[in-house]
Amino acid sequence: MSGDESAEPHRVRCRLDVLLEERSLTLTELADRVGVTVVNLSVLKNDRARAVRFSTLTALCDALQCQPGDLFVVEPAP
Amino acid sequence: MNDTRPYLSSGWASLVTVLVVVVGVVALVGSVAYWINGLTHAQANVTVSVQVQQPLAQAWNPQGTDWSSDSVLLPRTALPDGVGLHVAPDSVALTAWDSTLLEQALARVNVLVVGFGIALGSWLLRPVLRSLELGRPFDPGNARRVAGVALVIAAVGLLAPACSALAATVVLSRLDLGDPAGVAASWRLELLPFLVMALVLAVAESFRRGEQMREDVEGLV
Repeated sequence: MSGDESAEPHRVRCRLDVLLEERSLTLTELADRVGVTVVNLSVLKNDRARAVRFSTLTALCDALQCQPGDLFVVEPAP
Repeated sequence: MNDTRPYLSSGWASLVTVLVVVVGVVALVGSVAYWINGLTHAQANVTVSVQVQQPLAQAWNPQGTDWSSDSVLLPRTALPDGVGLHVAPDSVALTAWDSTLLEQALARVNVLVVGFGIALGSWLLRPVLRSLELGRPFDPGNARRVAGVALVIAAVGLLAPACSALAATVVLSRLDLGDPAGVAASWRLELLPFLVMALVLAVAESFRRGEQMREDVEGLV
């Protein structure tokens, strides 16, 4: 059983791809600014993360000049 | 204060992995060879563990000689021809001539059980040690493997003495040396295997919690 299959389901979606496009940034550039690996940012961008450290969230919001609510949305229940 | 030094470094884990595999193979091959060797001794002497009841022991030893000092061959007056009793500090061994194939097979099957137990335990431990060596102690399946080792320890601790008792019962039955004669099969359960099983189960539970924590941390960004 893979890690994703065993994860508890959630409806949090990350809008990192939208924010990157709006700011004309690449994932690698953001990784350099934030101090998080590209792999971890990719996990976050593709909604495979299960938790985010407050330190990572702070660094992302600083780098992207946004608020946590701009980064994440909760999809409506089906 | 956190102890940052590893109890089992990667290098030692690698060495222990090799040792565990070697011990497992030697135990398996050795126990099978020992058991097969026993089968070739059919019609010769067979030795089984027994217990001597107190009245008979007193009859054989009226002076109350201290048997605990050495292994003593008891008088054979009350025993059939070709049968001897050897008293050691913590056990009594009965040796009987003209054994059957079944008796020889049963008399050594306890060693076979221990050998298979060690082999199975080492087979289960090898991937656990390997993941320790790679710095990934909480890989999926390790908790189940450690719990399996605990189960093997309990099974061997129970089965090995049971096999010895069964062998003694079969030999005593052939010799007609049952309870009326004051000799009985000895089935003494040791406490140690079950204590070790409890300890290993505690380790297995720690591994299970560790696997859960690893899954949590894997999705943490």
